Amino acid sequence: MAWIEARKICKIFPGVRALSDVTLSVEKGEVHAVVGENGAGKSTLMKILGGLYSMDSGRILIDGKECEIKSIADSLRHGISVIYQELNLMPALTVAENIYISGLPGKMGCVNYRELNRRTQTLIDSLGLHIRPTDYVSALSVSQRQMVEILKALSHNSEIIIMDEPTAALNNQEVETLYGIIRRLRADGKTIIYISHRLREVFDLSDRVTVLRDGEYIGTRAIGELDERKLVEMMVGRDISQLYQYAVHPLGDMLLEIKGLSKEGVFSDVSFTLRAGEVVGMAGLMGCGREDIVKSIYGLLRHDAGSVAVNGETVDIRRPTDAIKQGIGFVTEDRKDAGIFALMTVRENITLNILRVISKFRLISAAKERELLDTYTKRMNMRYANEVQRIMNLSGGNQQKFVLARALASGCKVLILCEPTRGIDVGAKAEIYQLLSSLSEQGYAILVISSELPEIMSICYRTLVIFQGRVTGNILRDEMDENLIMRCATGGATHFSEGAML
Amino acid sequence: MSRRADLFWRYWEKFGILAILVVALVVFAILTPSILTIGNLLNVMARSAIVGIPALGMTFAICSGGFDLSVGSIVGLSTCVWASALPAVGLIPATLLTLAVGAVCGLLNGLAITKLKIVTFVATLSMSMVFRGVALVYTDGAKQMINRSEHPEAKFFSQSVNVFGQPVQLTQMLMLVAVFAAGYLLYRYTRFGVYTRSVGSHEVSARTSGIRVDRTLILVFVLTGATAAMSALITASQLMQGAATLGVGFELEVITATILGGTSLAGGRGNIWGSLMAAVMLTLTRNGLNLLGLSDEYQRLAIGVILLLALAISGIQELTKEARQ
Repeated sequence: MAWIEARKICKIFPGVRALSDVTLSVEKGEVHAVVGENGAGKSTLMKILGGLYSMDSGRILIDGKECEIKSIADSLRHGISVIYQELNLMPALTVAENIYISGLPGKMGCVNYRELNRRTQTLIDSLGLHIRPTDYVSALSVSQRQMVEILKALSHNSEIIIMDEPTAALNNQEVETLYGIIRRLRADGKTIIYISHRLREVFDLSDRVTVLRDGEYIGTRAIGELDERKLVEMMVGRDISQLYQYAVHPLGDMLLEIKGLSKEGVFSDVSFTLRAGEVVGMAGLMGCGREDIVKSIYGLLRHDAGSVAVNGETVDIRRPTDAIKQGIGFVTEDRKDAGIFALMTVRENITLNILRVISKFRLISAAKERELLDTYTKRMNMRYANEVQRIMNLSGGNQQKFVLARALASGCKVLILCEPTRGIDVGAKAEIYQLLSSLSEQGYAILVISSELPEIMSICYRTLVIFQGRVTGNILRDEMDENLIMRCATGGATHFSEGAML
Repeated sequence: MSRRADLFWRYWEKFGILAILVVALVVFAILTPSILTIGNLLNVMARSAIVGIPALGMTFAICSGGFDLSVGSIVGLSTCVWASALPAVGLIPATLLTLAVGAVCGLLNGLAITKLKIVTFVATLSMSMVFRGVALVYTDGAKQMINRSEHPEAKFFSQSVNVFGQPVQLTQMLMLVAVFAAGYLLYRYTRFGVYTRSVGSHEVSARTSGIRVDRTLILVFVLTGATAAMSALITASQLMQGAATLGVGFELEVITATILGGTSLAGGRGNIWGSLMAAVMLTLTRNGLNLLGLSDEYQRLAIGVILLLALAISGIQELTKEARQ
């Protein structure tokens, strides 16, 4: 008999069917994993259970009774707490205030701080954590903040705790702590729904697993019935390799050479090269310094020591304009806030870097702009209604193509891409991969930072691995292996393929 | 080095304004020793109420993540209401009415922000014109004079009382102390205080945590409106008149005090005592320049420079933070 049951849930966003007839059935006291690729609908389903989204159709039953969840308060009343991926804490408040914000103890509108801190301390002690009730959340680490979220869920006495990718920002040791806590909660009879796309965790932790794909329910299995290969098959359905075929391209000149790049406390002695025709991956856990390394190459961050050479010549890059002048393009992971100019048209979004080039007598030539747009539309197969459509109304995949086109239009030969397919559906992903492959064929050098190892393994000629700001691996394609990369990324090993130029 | 720097900034956030106040006092004491008489200092303290009381409200507004540009207009409107109502209905009813008008103005601000979803900057800017417009229409542009001999009670909010042989504007001073004591308790020990900080710290999280964000914001602006009306009471009582043109640009001085006091424009972190100190500092500066014979124009200039310097110091703090990251 299921404890919490979601039946035939449908949710439609403008233009996207996020969930269609999805079913989830969780038993009391189990750890139930929900897995699926990006865009499979996991988070949407959890937001419906948490009262953040309303469903378009479907039913939710808890302990056999139908319940209506229309708000966060409804969800809490039914004993459900959700810990979202983007944490819901208020940094300027203390740990105690954050945990009990919706039920502060005290009379007549006053807060009884002694009681508040006492309760919080009890809660903290129950999990054996090392934080103080009076610590400000802004001073805590990401993992500590996560613990505060868990405490918050416990403070509601919730029977069902939903965790959305809780380990995304944690290091190994912190993940272990989290495992311990989850097992403890299960022993106390709590029901846990655990969303993750890290398979190892799913096998380590869960009793049963439900798989979603492209907004549809694929199936629920006991963990004992599955192995990793079977689970991946359920998740992906079709192999991405059917959509995208890796091709080897001959390597050309050395385009970028990084030597001994260091920044105190962030990364140190980072050296590597990029050659024309090469797609190189950069793997590592969140917080390992990958982004900081490339940002300092691109001039967004200052480094203390080391040199950057483009085409064999050492260059001094102090700001992004310098980098673009040197032919280095950068595509941010934060497409929405730092990649596109949301309110501007698709046409303007391509030419923003090169207005000087397409201007005559200091006036922007619309004809030249149109010409560029046409060129890249053909080359990259972008889809939009018309040239003055606002870019924010395009799909994520199409937006990403525009961000790439802008870098290409400004004449960059070296492309640094951060999480190039984050939040993009499978089809568009394959298109982007294809595009990167053909760019490398044309002699571009491409560096791809990605948190998805399958992505790195399917598109990269070789991959660098970063651990605590140092290069711990330089692995050629035929030696790439998820385990090996993870070991390098967690400091468990170093691996430098023979014959691979670092 | 960085730990020492950390410590410095922590103290600067808390006590920086105190340091500025002491420096200002020393500078003026050298330039014009008469500023240091007890009578004058008490006078400065009392007069601080005019900026200080609305700065308390503004501290909540800024802490909630917005700010209120309509404070000056609310002051103008409130003086008109008080000065015209007092002869008709008497001191206490007129005062209550005025406070109610201020609160209603704040309510309208809050509703515009939460229900019409207008950004606070624009909402309070347009409301400021509405309030000033209402005051002008209501008074037909004429000053509302209060006859001193017929209504001596109108001096209540600005009267001087002899305390140990010194004339002190006692009502103002008590108002200031009472408002800040209450404000501190409100900020530090009540749910409303925590909610205000939570909304300013991260509105989405606050909403997700089940906080009634709209209600909190509306209350914050009601509070700000009411404190603006209190300040208007003192001004009107001093001038024995109400005028729709009173308080033009006043909101900027109030915001200046709040920011100088260390309340973060990013929201989530207010500094109640800081606002009080800053209000005293600004009043002292004006007083000192007055004694030096410098007119209002110079006083404004000085306040602008002080604000700029204070913000520059905060800017340096941000820079050093970034450099370390």
